[in-house]
Amino acid sequence: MKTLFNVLAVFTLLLLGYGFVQAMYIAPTEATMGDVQRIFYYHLPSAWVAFLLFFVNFLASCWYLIRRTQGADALALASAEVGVSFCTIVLITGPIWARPIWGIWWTWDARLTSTLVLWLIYVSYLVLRHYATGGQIPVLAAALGIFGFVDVPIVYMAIRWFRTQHPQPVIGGGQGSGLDPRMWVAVLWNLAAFAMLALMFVWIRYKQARAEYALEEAHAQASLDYETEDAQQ
Amino acid sequence: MNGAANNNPYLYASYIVVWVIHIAYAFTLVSRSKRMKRETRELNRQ
Repeated sequence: MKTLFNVLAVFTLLLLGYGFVQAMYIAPTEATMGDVQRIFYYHLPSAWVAFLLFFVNFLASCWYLIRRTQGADALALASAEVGVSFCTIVLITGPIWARPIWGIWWTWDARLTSTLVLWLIYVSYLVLRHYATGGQIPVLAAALGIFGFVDVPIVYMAIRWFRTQHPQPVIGGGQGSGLDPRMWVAVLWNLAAFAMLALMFVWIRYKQARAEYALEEAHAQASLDYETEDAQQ
Repeated sequence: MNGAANNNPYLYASYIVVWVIHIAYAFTLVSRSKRMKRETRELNRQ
């Protein structure tokens, strides 16, 4: 398993390197925005990977409520945590791109606002997991993960349902939308690279969450043994 | 690369932010692993 992890880690680094070269040097320069449009090659894949991770969290949360397995809970926690880091990237790169193009850092349009709400939902999920105590925390977190996921399709559809400052979709956006095929190549390389990076992070965090369970059980057993010894003396 | 070169600091800033976030997250994972190994060692010693 360790060898597979190391091979995938090297593969991920190579993908990230080539994705960077594609984004910065190979993809053509956009005619009106210039080079700053290259932010898109990190912004869009980060958003898609965040959506994918929140979907994994949704599935794992459902599975946890049905079966109550530690594995499902650990996967839900890992996917939410990594998803928040990717969603943070979306929320930071978006305004950095908006400032030179729109002349403003932020506007309260439907896409931006629903994305901020999505980030807040999953940050609250992590805060709940980190600071709350009690046996029902995984159940509450699973419920929050399931209902929180409702915001993902809202974020995705916001630019279709409402008039927004945010650009129209590049897939299925109707007449005049779409991308130069060479730009698509850069998007897909970076999507593959970020998806692999997310997989590596989730893998590590999942194993840590499982180890945390084992450690908690070992602590509980140790204190039980100590109390039993104490009672016998 | 060419085009509106005076916007390039925004491009560099956003790429730097992406990598800082990923590297910072990787560091939190590594430090958590170290803490857990230390806790396991202490538990085994007790």
